[in-house]
Amino acid sequence: MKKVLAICVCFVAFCAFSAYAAVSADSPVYVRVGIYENQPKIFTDEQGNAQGFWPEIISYMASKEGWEIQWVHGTWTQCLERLKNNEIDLMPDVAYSDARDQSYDFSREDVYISWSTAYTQKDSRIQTMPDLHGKTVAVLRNSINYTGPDGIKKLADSFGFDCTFIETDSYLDVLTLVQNKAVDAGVVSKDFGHLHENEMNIKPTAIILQPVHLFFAFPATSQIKPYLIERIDYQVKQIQADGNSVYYQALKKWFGTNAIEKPVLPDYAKWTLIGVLGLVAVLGMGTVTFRYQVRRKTKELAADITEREQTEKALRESEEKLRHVFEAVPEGITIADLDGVIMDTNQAVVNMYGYDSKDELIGRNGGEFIAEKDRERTKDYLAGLIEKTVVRNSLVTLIRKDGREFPAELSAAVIKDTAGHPIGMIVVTADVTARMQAIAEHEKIGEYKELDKLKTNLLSTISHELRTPLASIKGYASLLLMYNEKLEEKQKNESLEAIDRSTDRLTELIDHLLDMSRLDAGLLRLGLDTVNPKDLVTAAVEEAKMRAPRYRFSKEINGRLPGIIADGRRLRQIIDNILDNAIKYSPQNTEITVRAEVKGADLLFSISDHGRGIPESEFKKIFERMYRIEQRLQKDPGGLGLGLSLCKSLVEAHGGRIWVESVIHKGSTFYFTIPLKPADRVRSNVEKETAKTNPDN
Amino acid sequence: MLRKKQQKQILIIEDESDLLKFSSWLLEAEGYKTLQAADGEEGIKIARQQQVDMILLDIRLPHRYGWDIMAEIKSTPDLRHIPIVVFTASADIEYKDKAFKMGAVDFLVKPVSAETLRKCVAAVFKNG
Repeated sequence: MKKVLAICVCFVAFCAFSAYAAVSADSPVYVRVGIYENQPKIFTDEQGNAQGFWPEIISYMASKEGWEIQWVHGTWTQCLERLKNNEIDLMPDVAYSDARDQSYDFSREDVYISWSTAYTQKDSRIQTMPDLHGKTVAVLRNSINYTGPDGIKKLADSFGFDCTFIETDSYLDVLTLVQNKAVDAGVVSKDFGHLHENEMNIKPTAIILQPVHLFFAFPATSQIKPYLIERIDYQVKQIQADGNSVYYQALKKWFGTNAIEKPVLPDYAKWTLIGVLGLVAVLGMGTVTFRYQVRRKTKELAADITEREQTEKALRESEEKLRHVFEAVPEGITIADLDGVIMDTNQAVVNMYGYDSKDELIGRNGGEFIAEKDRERTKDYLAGLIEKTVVRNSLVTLIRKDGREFPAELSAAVIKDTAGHPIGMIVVTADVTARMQAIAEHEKIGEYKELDKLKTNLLSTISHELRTPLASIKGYASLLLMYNEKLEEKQKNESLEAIDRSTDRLTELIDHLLDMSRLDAGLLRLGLDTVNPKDLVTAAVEEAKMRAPRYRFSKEINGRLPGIIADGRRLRQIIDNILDNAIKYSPQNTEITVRAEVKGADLLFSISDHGRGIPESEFKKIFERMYRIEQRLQKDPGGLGLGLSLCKSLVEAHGGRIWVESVIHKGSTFYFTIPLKPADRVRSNVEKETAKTNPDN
Repeated sequence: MLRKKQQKQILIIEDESDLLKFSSWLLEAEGYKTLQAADGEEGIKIARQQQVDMILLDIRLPHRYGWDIMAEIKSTPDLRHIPIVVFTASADIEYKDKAFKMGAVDFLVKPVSAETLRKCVAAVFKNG
């Protein structure tokens, strides 16, 4: 094992010696060196000779090492590419970066420290990084001050500044773009910028990029690289250690400065220098810290400014969006102060009221546009807004510019300031004309449908009611014809009586129908005569007993009843009609009582039953013609259902009135009055009644 | 034949007393027994309690329409077998359709003659 190791060491040593020997032989070593235009650091003069700080150092080293330097001119990018491809052996003025370390190798000794500055036009207001936001910046392609870890691109990105970078092949191109105002700023090495700023009439900004250490760079795969690195490091150390060396001369010549000095001072100065260095170190630390803080603060400030600008932009966009929505909403939106004075409206309000522009509305009180009848109510409604904060859906009538009124629905909400104090109101107005018309039409259609249904039912009912007595007549007549011998005498008599009765009933029904028709046609006339109320009531009760034997009928005549001038037939019709209802709505074997008495100037009739009763809400409705039919069909069959409305017409024709009192499940009492002395009024009321029932007359 | 007829008991449900009487006299003259009810509730009560071989049913009855009564009879196991003839003064075609849909065996529109009624009842018992 030890033997193997020894052999390996010897082999490596031999290789190194061979390489060294190869290049230290008497024949010159050709070293290809990249050169680009970056005055004063490195450039070619008018004759094409390499000039500048780096060429002087290299030339010196070449003379010392016996190299033949072959300068290979190109752009910065070309030089780096050639270096990568081993087309050149050496490239000066290269800053180290991790990325570059992948492609190249570097000398161990840094040669120069430099930094870059952003330049701009003399009249430009660009001073700091935030000023570059939204600007164009010229840069040297692939330079460390552009794409390096502390380059301008990274810096702008970290601040969130939006810069457009224009890549060029040389610093001269960068500054030319700046000079020509083709860009807003350009980043160059401070030396280059300093050299050209006056002639190009440009100025440096306060934008200074992080200093970089500059090295010699070598191809990663070069055979000569180890030799060159070793020799160059040696030479750099030597010249940097000698204060009178070409290094310092070149610094002074090309930059007017001295670089970091190597220790060649006398001892007494050494301690001074150490002190100075110490102070510089402290100051340097302070500077770095300060710079960090400035950078941080700049970053914060930049962020604040950006945030403010972004906020302002967002606010503008938001306001525009809100305004757009405000104007586009089809409902009217009005903003008013607490007194109702209009401060702003949207187009929908202008259109709704028929004005030409909102200027005709702004400044006026909203109350002006409300119809007189709704003004007070709306005022109260909006007054409650402060307390309720929101009020909804108040139906009002509004007035257009041309004076026409239209229905509208208002909703309002209070507007408060940041302290929560009400400062105004927002009112939403919807023109509901179309909706109200639709509702009215719908209701009308509903009414028509209802009327149609009732008419159909009326015909059905009339048919039924007429057929019922006819059924008795037909049935008994045919019974007598077919079974005369089989029937007992009693049965025969009852059959004939039933025929007679049914004929009367039928006649009555037909008369009833005719009466309704006459009422409609305005032809109803009362046949006035002296009527004995007691006889009237007695006859009605007796007839009812015959008609409905399963009910108990009674009469009550209170006091002496005078004769009255009336249409006796019609009075009997009224009582019979009410009795029929009592029978139909009462259970069998219950009592139905007819009463008559004098009450003041009237004769008061009443018919009481113990039927199902009538809800109070229907006390008036039951005297309406159509209502009656509908109810009866649903709950109780039988009867034309026109009776009570006819009763009402007949009673009122006499100058009396009719009403009902009832308790559900307990029973009802129908009352009607006939004036004791109606003579003059009766005649005029007959005419009035027919006019009322036939308004077209 | 007469003996068979005498065994048949017909329930007449009719609120018009004259028509109730007429129908009853006619059917009794034809040798049937009759039971009478002035409303549907009474009719159902009778049908549950007594032997009923046929029901003559009016539609426009007080308190409950004849349709309700018919529906109840047809949904009652002990009663649904009883043939029902609807006997109504309503000539609406809808009534006739409804009557047959609900299971009526015949539909008579008032006024009917004694002969028509007699023939109808005879047909029911002949078919039944």
